[in-house]
Amino acid sequence: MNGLIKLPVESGARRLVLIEIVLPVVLLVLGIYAGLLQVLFRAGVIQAAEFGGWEYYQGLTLHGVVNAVVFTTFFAVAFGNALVPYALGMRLPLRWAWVSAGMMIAGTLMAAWAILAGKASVLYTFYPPLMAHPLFYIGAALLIVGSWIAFFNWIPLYRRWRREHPGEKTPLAVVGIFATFIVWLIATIAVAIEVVVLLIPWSLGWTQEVNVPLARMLFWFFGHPLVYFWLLPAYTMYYTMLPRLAGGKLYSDKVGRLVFILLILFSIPVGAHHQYTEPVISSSAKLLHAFLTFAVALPSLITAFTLAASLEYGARQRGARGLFDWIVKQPFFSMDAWLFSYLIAGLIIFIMGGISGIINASYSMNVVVHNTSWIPGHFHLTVAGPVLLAFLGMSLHLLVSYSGKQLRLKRWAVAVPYLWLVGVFIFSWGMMRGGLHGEPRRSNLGMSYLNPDSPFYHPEWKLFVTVTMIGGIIMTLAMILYFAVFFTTALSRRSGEAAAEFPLSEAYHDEPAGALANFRPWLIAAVILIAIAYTPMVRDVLRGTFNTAPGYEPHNPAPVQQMEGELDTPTVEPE
Amino acid sequence: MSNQVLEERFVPKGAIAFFAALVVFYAMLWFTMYAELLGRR
Repeated sequence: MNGLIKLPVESGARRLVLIEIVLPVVLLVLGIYAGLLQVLFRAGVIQAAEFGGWEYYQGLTLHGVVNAVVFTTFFAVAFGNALVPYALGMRLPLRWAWVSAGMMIAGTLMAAWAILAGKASVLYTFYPPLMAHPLFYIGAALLIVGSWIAFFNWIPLYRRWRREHPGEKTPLAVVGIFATFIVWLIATIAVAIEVVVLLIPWSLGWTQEVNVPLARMLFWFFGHPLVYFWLLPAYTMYYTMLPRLAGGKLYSDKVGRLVFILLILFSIPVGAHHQYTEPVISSSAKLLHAFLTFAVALPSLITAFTLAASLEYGARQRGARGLFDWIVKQPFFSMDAWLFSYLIAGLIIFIMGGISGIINASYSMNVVVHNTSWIPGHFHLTVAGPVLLAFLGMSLHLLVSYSGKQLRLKRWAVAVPYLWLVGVFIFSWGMMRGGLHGEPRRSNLGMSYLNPDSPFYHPEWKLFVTVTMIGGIIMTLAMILYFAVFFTTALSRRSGEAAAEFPLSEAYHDEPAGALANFRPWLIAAVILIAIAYTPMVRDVLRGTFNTAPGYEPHNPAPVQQMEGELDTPTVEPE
Repeated sequence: MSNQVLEERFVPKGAIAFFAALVVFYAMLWFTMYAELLGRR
């Protein structure tokens, strides 16, 4: 786009951001390949326990960990490292930024080794009693702590900016990034406790058994806000860049701030809606989390209206008339504002992701879809919709601006989000319809229910898994186009000076921030809300009368320690 | 309508209509699922 403010970037910061963008995109090649294998396994095209040296659950773990955790965490840190200094007009302190990147890279390599060696087929939720190699957990912890350090590195910048700009509103882009990492920091404390206190000692053999419901509760304390850690950088782009890309203005700056604060408040105390069938948690605690989950839908609904108003404003300036003409008068295929195509395609996908999430959150209705393929059908409409497309688009934008290169294969770049949109809608329709017919998630259907030679053969699901596979192949084609654009651009010659530049929008209503000016009171409110929501759950889990469990691997019904001779094998005396 | 007039008078009628349609669409899907739930009793 023309007319953007360019700020020079020192070479260290340039290298840092480029490494944090390129490395996860390289890993994403593996993650996407693993995703393609998933639809082929599930459709019965591959009727085996493994393919190409990758076992089914190993591939599923790689797909989830790389796509949903590694790629997203690296991206959020890179985006913050680029956007926070840009929006504040300051230089990024590099020493701790490199420490952060080093820890994240080391952690990723450890976890990747454990997965690729077949020693951590525990899926991205790493629920015990499935047990992984200790390096998987240590690697995950390093990735998380590295991302914390990146956040801590921005706080002195923010404080200095506040001192130097008394009475001014914090730039909305900084509010968005800080909301992202506040949610991340609070949420990851729980998973850090799970990993450090429960799982690492257990996987090292220092403890024999683990409290499964406690571990699962700690995971979902983290797991649902993780969704907002994914969504918040996308929301930051929607509020601060999309209106300008569409030729308009953000309808209300204050509403943007309100949405970010509401997400800090409500995105964490909602974890039990992933555990509605967990017997140890009381119904009253689950119901409270159900209500709070509806509360967290509110900022997304506010966002739907505000972004629509912002897009309408831009379209009316270009002559749109009537109630809905503004929808078609958007720059969907603009070569100049190509980033728009990634953001708008993600928003269209999110329309379906939003309602399917509300259905999941509805306490009794959840039973209809729980643990079926509906669930991954739903979350591909969120994390593989607005999140993935916003991250892919911004990764390209950062690659171009921080390397001083021109975007190559621009037509392909604009086609990618729409091809993905078609693919993900087909994919999710198949998954969700199949789920309503009882199709399970996380199952190698080609080995069982979709294998005509199997006694479990279930032909009713054939249509759904076939549609899912077609969608998955289209999604893979979209990603092949994306990788071609990304790596052709990355390997091309530099054509200009590298500089930070973001298409930040003006606000139509630029109201004072008022009570939303400071994070502190909202942070306190968030902690109180978390205490109210989680105290009954912690009590339930600690009072439960269930047994703790030894570790297992997905392909063996015997505990790991028993296989290694570390656990006493019960013997039966002959009569 | 000139841009200056739009700047002063912009009321997002289209966004209001879109939002209303979105809520109706969401309600339809939610109640469809509710019917599915009731059908399984």
